[in-house]
Amino acid sequence: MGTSIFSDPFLLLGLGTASLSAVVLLWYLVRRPATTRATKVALLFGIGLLPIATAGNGNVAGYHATKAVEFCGSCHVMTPYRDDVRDGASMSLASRHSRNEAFGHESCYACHADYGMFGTITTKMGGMRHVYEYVLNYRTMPTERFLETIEILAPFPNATCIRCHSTANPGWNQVGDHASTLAEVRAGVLSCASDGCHGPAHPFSKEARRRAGR
Amino acid sequence: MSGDGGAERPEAGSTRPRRRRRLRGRLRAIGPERLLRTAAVLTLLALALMVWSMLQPTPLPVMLAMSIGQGIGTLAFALYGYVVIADLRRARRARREGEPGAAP
Repeated sequence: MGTSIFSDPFLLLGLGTASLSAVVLLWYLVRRPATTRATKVALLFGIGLLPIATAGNGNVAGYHATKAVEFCGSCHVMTPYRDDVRDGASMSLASRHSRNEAFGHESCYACHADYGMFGTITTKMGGMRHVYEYVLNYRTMPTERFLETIEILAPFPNATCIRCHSTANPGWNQVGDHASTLAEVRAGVLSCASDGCHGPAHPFSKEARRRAGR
Repeated sequence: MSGDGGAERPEAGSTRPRRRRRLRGRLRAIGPERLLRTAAVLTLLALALMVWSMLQPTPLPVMLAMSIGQGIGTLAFALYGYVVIADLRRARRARREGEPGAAP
C-alpha cells in the first residue's frame, strides 16, 4: 500500500510503542526475573501502557488506511472501480473527481462517506456490512458476474454532491437545468448522478451498461 | 450447574459468585509467575496482529487487529491486573495478620 512508515506519525508511534513493549516482554520471558515490584512496573509498561498506546495509534493509522482507494480496491471485486478511478483517460464521474486534488487518494471515501455528526461511525458500520457481504456472498464470485449483480445499497444522496457544489452558488444556478430542478435536487428527488443529468458515477453502473446496450 | 449430587439447588443469584470463586481458584492454581508469562505471550501475539495491520493495512489484518488482536491484548492486561491485585490483597492480609491484637 502507498503509505510510507514515515508519512504517518500515528503509524510511527504505533510501531515504536510496539517495539518497546516487545523488548520489555522478551526480556521478561527470556530472563525470567523474580516477580518484584520493579518487574511488575516494567510489565505494567510491557503488557499495559505501551500496548494500549500501540492499539490507539494503530486504530488511528488503520482508520486513515481504510479511507484510501487502495484499501477499497484490495477486494478483488472492487478492482475495476479502482482501475477506472486511476485511469487518467477515463471520463467517468468517479475518475474525473479522483483527479481533483481535494479528493486525493481517498476519493472512494470522499464520495461514499456519510456526513453529519456521526457520519464516520455510520460509514464504518456500513463498511462492516460490505465486509460481511463480501465474505459471505462475493468472495469467490468472478468479477464479471459481480459487476452484473451488484447494486448500490441506497440511492446516491445529492447531499454528498451539494457539500462541494453548493446549489446556492450563482454559477450553479446559471445552468438552466440546475435552475429548473433546484427544488427536486435539494429534496433529493432528482439524483445528480442519474442518467440524463451527470450520469452514473462508475462505468459499470447498471444505467451506464443499459445506455451502452450491454 | 447442579453437579453436587444431593446438594440443594442454588438460588439464581448465587451461581455467579460460585463461578467467580471457581475461576479464582483455577487462576490461583496456575500461579502468578505462569499467569504473567501467559499474559506476556498473549501480549506479544496481540502486538504481532496490530503491527501486521499497520504494515499491511488491507481488510483482513485491519479487522483481525481491531477485534481479535485487541481482545487478546485486553485479556492479557486483565491477567496482569488479576496478579497485581491478588498480590496486593495478599500483602494487605499479611500485614493485617501481623498487626498486634489481630484475630488469629
